[in-house]
Amino acid sequence: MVSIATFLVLSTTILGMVITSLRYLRSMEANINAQNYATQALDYMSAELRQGIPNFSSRGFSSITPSVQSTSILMPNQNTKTSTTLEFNIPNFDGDGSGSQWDPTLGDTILTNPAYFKKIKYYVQNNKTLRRQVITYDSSGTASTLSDDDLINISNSDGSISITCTWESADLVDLQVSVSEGYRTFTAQSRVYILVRN
Amino acid sequence: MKYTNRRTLLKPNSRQSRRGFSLIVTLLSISLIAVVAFGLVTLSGIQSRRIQDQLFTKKAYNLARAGVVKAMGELKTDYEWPTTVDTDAEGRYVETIREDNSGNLLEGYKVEVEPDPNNLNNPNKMWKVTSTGYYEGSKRTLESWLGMETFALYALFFDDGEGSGFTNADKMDGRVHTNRRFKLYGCPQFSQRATSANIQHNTSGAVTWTDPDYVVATNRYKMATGVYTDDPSKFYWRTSTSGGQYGYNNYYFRALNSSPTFSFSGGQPEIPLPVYDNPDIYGTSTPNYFNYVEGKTNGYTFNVDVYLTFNSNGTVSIKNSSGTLLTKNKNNVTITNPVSTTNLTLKTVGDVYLGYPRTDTGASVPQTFKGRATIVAAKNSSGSKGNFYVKDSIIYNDKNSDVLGLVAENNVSVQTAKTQIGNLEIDASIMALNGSVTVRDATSGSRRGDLIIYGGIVYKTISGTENSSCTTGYGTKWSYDPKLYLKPPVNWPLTGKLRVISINDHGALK
Repeated sequence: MVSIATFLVLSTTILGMVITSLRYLRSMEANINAQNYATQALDYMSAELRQGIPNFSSRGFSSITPSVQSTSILMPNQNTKTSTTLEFNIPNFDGDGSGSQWDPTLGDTILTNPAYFKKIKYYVQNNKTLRRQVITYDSSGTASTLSDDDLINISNSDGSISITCTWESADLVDLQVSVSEGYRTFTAQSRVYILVRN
Repeated sequence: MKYTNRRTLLKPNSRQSRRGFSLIVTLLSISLIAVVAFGLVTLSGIQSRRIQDQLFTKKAYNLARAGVVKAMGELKTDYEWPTTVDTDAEGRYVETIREDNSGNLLEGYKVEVEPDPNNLNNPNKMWKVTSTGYYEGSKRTLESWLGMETFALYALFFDDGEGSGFTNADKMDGRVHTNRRFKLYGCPQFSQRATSANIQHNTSGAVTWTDPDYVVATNRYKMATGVYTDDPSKFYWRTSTSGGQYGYNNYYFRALNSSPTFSFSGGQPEIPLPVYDNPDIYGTSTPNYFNYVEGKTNGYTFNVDVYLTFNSNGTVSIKNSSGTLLTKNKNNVTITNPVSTTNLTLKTVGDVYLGYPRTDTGASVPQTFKGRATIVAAKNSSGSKGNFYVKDSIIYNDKNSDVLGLVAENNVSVQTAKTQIGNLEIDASIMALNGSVTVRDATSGSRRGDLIIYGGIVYKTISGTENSSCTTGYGTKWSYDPKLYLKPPVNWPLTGKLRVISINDHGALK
């Protein structure tokens, strides 16, 4: 009887240790995932934003007449300095969608033609999913959505993801990504300098 | 004789039983701990590799950027870089930091340059530069377009500023540069990079002026007698060197609205202004800036003084001093006048008048400019330098799209009467290559109002637009037009430096 009791006590203790260890492992894995998601999201956004066109005002295509303001409000901007979405224009390097392929040898006219640009939008849906939307334009500024995909998905029901973007100047944006997989919340931050004005 | 009970012999005693149980429990515990430890080590290993990959990729990215910067530095002075001497079998410049025994690049970058086919006859040259960074098996490719930087990049540029200085009232919301030195009478505010050369050369390379406090040989600056600094943020003149740390505590640059992009550095490379005979200073076979108007689409040249009136339909009426529309250009070719201001380049070998003919006391009538144009008042054959005379405000029809550039070989001069009260606004990028932006009767009469400049000013010398007590002339208020970064006026003069037009990171999302 003593042996059985001892066995039960020890077994229960070991089982408890195992469960605790597995929980710890799971929380640790979740925390590591959260860290990875935060740094990944920041890397995705900052690598793409560095290629962007400086955002001098809230308008995306400042040189275009007539303006296509309704389709190209960028965030954050001079008037709305902090936002939970990141929207910017980059050249349409590959000529995707309804646009035309970026080619500076064509002269300054490409600067006034929205077909040579794409608008990129990063946003969070339901606090769970970081999404990336790509919008292309034809030469008259008519927008069409080329893609709208999940980039990072938080699987834990208690988890969340959020982004905060701060406009510091036309070519400088502070990015912050916070991710939790149900345990600790991890935040990654970066200050991104747009390269086209060196 | 004592017999031992057989059952007792066969049955393990209780101590033996406990020992076996302990062994099992111990083994089980060790196994579980081993499993947990293995899991931890595996996770840790995966994370380590992941972080290492990220680190290597970032190093490769930064090496690729170094390749772009290398190309910018080389192409500035050698339009055909790299030559075959510098390249590998695939025509790429290779910078090797480390390589393995087989000669594979472990750390370094390769740069491929593809010039625009139009570069030969075009001062506004471009290159497609593809730079790939390598680091321990990771590589990252950046594809960039580099082009020539224009003077439109500057909110304020002055070649010679010895006569003027900056006070608390000065606020600049764009880039500022002088080939001389900044003179501080207060604490001006800047939003972007401000630089000074502190030394000047002529076109032959001989030194024509040196900041007396700047020690060129050691790149140091005199703070006080026997005290020098190598901190370039202190390479400027203070109106007083007393009052705490040699005047630096009282006279210093400030960031406008806490702008994070502000910085000041002295001792930076000189940027010569374009000159009439050889304005494309870094070019070899490119034609004179003011001459390449001929043959350009929508380019006009006249050899008389011209009087301009901008029309709201995107045209400009070009008249002679008698008020008659000009029907022939310098080469006696018939033209249609008014001409379109869409990508217009207009040069006159003489002076340009805006808002004339009008009597001195006549009210200023704002003119609306629509389009994109550069207007040049050039030096005539007798050597007389052209001036740009302004009597009316020039206001963009749409500040987000219209671009006007005014170049005067001599001065851009405001000619309103001293009795004419009211603000005058000039929406344009302005260059006065041998003069300044001046105001007639700046130091007499009443205070007329503000001279509002929306654009940028590049001039040889700074001159005042009011008297010292600010009771006459115009107070100057300027704000930089940020679209000039990407869309300068047509054929705008170049600084000789390069800029990034676009950059495509192949490692970024597509």
